[in-house]
Amino acid sequence: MNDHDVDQMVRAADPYPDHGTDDMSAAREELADEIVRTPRTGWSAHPVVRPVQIAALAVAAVAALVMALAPGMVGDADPQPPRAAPATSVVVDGGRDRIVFAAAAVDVAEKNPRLLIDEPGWQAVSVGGFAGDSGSITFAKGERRVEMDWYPAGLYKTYYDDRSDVGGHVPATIDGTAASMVRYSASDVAVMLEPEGSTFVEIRTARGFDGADDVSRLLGAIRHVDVDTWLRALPRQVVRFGATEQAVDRVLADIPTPPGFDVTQLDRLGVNDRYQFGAEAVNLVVCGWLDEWQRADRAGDETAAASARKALGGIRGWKVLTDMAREGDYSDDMWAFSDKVNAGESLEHLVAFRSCSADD
Amino acid sequence: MLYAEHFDAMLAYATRRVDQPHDAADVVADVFLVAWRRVDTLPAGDDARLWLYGVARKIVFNQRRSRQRRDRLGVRLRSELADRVERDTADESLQRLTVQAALACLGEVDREVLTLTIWEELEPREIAAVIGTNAQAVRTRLSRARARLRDSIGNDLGRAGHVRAVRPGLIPEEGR
Repeated sequence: MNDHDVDQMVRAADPYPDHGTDDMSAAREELADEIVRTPRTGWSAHPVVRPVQIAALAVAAVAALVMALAPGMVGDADPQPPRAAPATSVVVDGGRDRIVFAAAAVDVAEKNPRLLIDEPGWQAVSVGGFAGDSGSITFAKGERRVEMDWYPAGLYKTYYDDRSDVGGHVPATIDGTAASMVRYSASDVAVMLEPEGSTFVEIRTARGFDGADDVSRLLGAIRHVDVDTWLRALPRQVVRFGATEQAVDRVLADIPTPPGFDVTQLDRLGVNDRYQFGAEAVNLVVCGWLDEWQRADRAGDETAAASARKALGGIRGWKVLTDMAREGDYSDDMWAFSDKVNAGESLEHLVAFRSCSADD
Repeated sequence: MLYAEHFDAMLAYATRRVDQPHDAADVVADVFLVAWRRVDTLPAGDDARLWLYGVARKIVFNQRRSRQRRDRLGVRLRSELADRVERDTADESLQRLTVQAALACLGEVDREVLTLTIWEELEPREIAAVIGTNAQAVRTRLSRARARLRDSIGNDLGRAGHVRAVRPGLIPEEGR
């Protein structure tokens, strides 16, 4: 079963296959009438979101609005942009083999609950999306998968309340830390640890477990560890000092970069595995070319605009995307974008398609 | 204008994500009530559509917790929607229920990314605006959601006698 098959099944399971509401036109108009007869006054007593950059801040506005709509409800805070850690090296020496870790990795480790599975055979197979107070690691052993996701501590209550819909929390303890567990099935649970510092962690037995006892054994084997131990358990290509430089060289090996492209931005992408790093890096290059194309377009510089179009039209030849295609669908997305470039899609549409704003 | 243009999309979104038609009607009423009250500061163009999805998501999100129904608006819509949903669900196939049960076992954000992609046909950048993350994170979650759904359903779905047992109805959603 491939991604297309999955999509087809989900499409077939659409609980609302009929998109038309012509048969409900009277009800629709009646509701519209009720709404416009609702006074808009009284709203000003609540905090409002300034209209500045309302589009980019739409979700923040939504959170504010919903909270204002029903005081007491907990809104969903926006993820903050990753905080860049200083791109220097830090030596963490636990009395074993001396490894120099990237400062960004140590920064994440210090702010993280740092949990590992104290059982032979488990390996971190996916690390990504975190630089500071949120992120995700997937551990694997055979067919089993365990995900540990970190979120800002301020979102704990929101997540806790949401999980309550699954069927009720059961108190649990993970290596001495109070936690609560919800159970999706005998072998599929989510365990939220109470916040420690600026984050809290949620553990999910993602797949491959054989019943409740198997899950209990796993949860009992999870331990808090020190910075050194935690970092050593992560893939070396993620956390080792100099790994980023090698990754940059690998990604940019056959990719044309736009004029003035600041390679050092890639050093500040946080802690990511190869796939995540490749995606973030390619995104920066592509957005750089779109910026250059827009600049050239405004300046009437046809040569520069043609160069940008040529670079973006050649994305299918970038080796890093070929390598990444085995792991996820980012490459497909980029190739589709490149095909649009080659098909003569307007610059305005291409910019909208990629969405390279700071909030994206 | 905004109401007429996006009513169908909001009704579809709500109906897909709540268990009861009257809850869907409440969500739609609340979405446009918020829009009405914020009409002076609504984003323009297509951003308005994404903004409405974001509002709808928050309302569904909070409705699941509060379990409080506001009965002031949309009485007729609730009634007519209930009739329609009753007709639609009369022919629930086992495969459809299996997929819906598997969807319910995804994390809410992963499920939302997958269903916004397939049911609402939004692009990753649009989903990013709706759920408040970045497009890359959306792509990562989409990939993960598909993989997990594939694992959950298995390769034999659709062959008679090889489907997993499912509950007779939607599993309560996780909430996030």
